[in-house]
Amino acid sequence: MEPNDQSDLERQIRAHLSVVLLLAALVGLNVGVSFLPVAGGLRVGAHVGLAVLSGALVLTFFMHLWSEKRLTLAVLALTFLLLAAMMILTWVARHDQPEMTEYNSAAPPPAPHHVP
Amino acid sequence: MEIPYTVEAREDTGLYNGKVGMWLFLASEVMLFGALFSSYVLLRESHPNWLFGAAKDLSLFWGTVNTAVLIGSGITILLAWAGLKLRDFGRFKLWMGATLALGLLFLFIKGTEYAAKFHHGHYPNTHTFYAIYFVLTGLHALHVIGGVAVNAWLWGPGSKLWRTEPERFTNRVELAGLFWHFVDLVWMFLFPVLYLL
Repeated sequence: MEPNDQSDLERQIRAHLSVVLLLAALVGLNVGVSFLPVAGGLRVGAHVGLAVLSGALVLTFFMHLWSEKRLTLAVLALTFLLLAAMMILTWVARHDQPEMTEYNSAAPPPAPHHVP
Repeated sequence: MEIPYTVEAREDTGLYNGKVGMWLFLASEVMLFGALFSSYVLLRESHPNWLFGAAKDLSLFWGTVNTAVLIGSGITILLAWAGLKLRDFGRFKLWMGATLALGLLFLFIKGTEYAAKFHHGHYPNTHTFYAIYFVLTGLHALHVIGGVAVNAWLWGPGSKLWRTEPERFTNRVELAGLFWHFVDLVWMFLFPVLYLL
């Protein structure tokens, strides 16, 4: 943020105070959702969606992303791309389990090979 | 030796060097916490008896209070920086002091929560949920401690720089603010993931 003069800065402070109220409302909403009789993916989606919205507000206004230079935006875009790729891989692989049949089986493990 | 671009922006980046460094550091922090969130998803999905709701024995009330405390500290550090921009050092001292107090309050509440967990026999090795809970909140708390330490320096002995190089000092406060907001941002995700889901 590069405010030009005092009135500009004070206007921005007032805007930030509104963002704080909005953040508080989003947190209240997020807590409220936890009391609703909703389960499964809808509930997870609601909580995560509200968290993403809160995070976007912090990034945009508190961290001044709306007025940042192109280099900062490029660094963040790359970061979030990598983060998204990691989270998508995580979600796709979330049910993958190591088989470990050798250890889960009741049968004793095979004898090691002896090399003469 | 004069360190270049501590105040004025470089022609090629359009930013002073400290700001580029801070954004790169925060990018690495996103990936650090991202990896831990990824671990959380895998552990939660693969555990046959994950803890939900009241079984977690976490205080929703104190978790919500701590969220409010961090949001409040986000605006106080912004007001501290704005005070410097308005050439009002007293205003900076007041709001940075408030930020420090809120940071310490957050740590106190978190410490009380930890003490309650230990009192009830919940340790990182008690359950997979507590393992990831202590890792995530512990790493976050370390970041809060780091932020409080830097803010305390800027509020106290570090503020001498204001008399000789006010622009450079203002930039330092801006960078500390960026880090503090990042700590706030991470908590915005930790709170629902650990306390509400």
